[in-house]
Amino acid sequence: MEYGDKVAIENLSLEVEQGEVFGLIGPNGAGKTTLIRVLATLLEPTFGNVRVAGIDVLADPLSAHPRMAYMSDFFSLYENMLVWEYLDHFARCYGVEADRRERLIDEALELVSLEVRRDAEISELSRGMRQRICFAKSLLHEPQVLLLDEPASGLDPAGRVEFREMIKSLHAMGRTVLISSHILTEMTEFCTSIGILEQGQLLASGKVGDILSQLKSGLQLKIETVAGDGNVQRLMDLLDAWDQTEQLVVEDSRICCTWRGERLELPALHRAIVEANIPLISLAAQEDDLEDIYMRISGHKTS
Amino acid sequence: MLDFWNNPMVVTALRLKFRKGSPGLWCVALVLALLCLAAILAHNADGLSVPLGRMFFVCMVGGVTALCGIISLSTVSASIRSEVTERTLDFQRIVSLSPWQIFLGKAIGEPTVGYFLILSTVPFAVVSWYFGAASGLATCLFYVNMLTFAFMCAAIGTLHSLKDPGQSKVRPGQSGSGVGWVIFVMIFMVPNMMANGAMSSNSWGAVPLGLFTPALGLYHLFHGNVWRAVVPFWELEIPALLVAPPFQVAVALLSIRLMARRLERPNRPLLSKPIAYGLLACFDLLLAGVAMHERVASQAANDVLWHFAIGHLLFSFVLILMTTPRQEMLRRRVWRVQARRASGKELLYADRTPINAMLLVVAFVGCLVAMLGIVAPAAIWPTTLGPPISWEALVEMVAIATLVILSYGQLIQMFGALVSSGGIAWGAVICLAAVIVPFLGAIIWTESGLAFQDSGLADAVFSLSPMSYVVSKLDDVRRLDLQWPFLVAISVIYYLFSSRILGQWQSAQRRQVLAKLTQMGVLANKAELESIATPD
Repeated sequence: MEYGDKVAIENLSLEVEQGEVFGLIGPNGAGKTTLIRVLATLLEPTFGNVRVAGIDVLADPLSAHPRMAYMSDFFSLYENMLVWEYLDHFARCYGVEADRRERLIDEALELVSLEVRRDAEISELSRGMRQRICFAKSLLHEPQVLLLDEPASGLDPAGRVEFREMIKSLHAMGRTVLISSHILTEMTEFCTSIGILEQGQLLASGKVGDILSQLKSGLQLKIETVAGDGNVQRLMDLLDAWDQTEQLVVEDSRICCTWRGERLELPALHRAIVEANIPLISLAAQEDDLEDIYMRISGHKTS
Repeated sequence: MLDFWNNPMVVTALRLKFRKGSPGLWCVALVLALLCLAAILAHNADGLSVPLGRMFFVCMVGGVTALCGIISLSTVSASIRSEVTERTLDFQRIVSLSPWQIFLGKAIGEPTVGYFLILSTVPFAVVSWYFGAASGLATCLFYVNMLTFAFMCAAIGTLHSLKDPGQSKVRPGQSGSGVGWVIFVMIFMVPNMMANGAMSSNSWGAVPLGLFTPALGLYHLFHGNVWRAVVPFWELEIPALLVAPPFQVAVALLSIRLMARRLERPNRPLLSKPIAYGLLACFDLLLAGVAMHERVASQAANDVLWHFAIGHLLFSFVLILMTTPRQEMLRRRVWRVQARRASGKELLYADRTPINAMLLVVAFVGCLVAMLGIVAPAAIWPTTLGPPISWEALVEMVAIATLVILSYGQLIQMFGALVSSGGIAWGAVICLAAVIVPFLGAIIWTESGLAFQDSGLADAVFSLSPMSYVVSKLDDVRRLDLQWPFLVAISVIYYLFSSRILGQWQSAQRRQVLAKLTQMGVLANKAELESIATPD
């Protein structure tokens, strides 16, 4: 996919199974929005094949439209409409029959908890409410595939929790969701698969569990001792002597390192420290999360 | 198309306008204004040169037509502009409505106020008819004309760039300039053309005025006989009030079709090649029909041929500019056909192929219509045109027109391919300069008798533009002494130069794309290649 001289996505091959919640991860400019807009038929790729719900969207976009919904991070609503008018407009645009329209609008408003704002003018609503209306609009025609580009970017913490629950309920209903987000830790909570996109190329993709187990580098240990009396140096020497420890870094009275061994071997390390008479304040072990894996794959430094 | 009452765009527009009550307010204001106008005219009835009823009817229809045209144009244009800049159009693009339904709905729904204003004047029209302002048929036709004119303005208002505002380099206000021009033409040009009687008699100027507006009918109604407003077409004189509504609807539907194409694939040229051929054939037939009408064609027969040639060339350039694919489109095609060269058939009709074959078709259509519409009728029914058109004149016109189209067309395509953005604009500037400068130059030359008239300098300057030869064939500018061999040489140089540059660019693109496809390993996978959709 080219924009003039710039290549936005290159040599990308991606398949999302029906009923999956696929998370697209990548920094700004990685090509996430371009990919989603191509899938939504809003952009035409320079070269390649795109199928959504089994339909070739380049050859027959109009047949694909009723099967998909799209929501972007940057969006506007018709300010002069009432909430129900807005939803009614899009229900008509999607060809929802008159006898089902009213019921579907009510259900969509209930799902996004905006029943009480049914008759409000859109210009009076907060950003979070607008986002929810936009989401409600996306659900009106009961699409098989939802393409969500940073959908939770403007939501407050409570809104994010609510949004997460909505995605989970859509997953339970068997809908396929492709979602891009910067909030990587949240993605593991509702995504069944993920893809990591960097500079227009797909670096890794697959089930969340598979990616985490394949790419996690081991446990991150943080061991804190009492400063002085050569405690830090003795702890450093001890850790250095263990084969399972790597990448030792001293931070004041604390040593951080990667543990390549099994989790069950940690009590032995703990015992060795105590037996060496090194005063131990804390020993914490943390597994790699999606953010760490993403940072490592994409070559960024962990903050 | 006729089921527009169920079009969601129309339903929503009507719902919003009526909730705010704007049609009612406008209609009340218009009715009050018309009552005031009637009172003022009645007060000054003795000083009027035409009967009071007719004066009132002409003022009312003229004023309401202009007002509704401006309202339709500006509301639709503002609506599309807001959809693009606010990015609400993205959501419209992925609904189940076709692009055609979206724009048709916009053109019908948004100017609701305009349509209601027209309907609110019906009681005044009935009263005017009762007092003999116009016949019942003419009154009805004026109303049909007002509605179709408002629809045409609304459809023209949909013509707007759909470029993503995030990527667009268009300055604020720039894209609205088209609307400004149309309003300028309506407010200043039309009255000016009407004031100069030559434009509203049976002349060249009467044709666009009669086809695009009800102004010609109003002018003749004011002077006593509305049926004298005619569009000449060979031996026929078709009443403007009859021919204008279908013509305006056709222009409106064409505008909507263009925008629907743009919405389907924003990277395509505005006009497809088959539509361009059809439009050119229709325009040339109209041109030939008007040129051959005895009252219009008061010149010698050969001059009629050259007037036709100029009209054909100017319209061809407009079509070529609207059909020429830009760099990005050409490059996409190279990708999607895996660097294969376009076949002759694809060059003829496919959107993203260069326009080489189209230039030949454009030249052919002009020749065919000139033969069938001008040369043959002049030979069969010699009227006031004098002696039939000679074969020599026909061959000369065909040869010159073909050379001009090929050389300018290839230059435009070269600029379109080489310059990533605005290539067409550069091509247009160069082409307009090459077309208009000699035209204006020739007029100044003949009118002013410049000092360097006999030095040969002017001839040399004009000779650089092949269009000068066409202009120099007109009766009133024949003092230019331009030579055939020079025309051929200049045209061939332009054509070969632009063909060579374009060919080199295309070869480089093919090499790049092939290298990339090989690197991606795509060329080895035949099944995958076959599944990739090829562009139209």
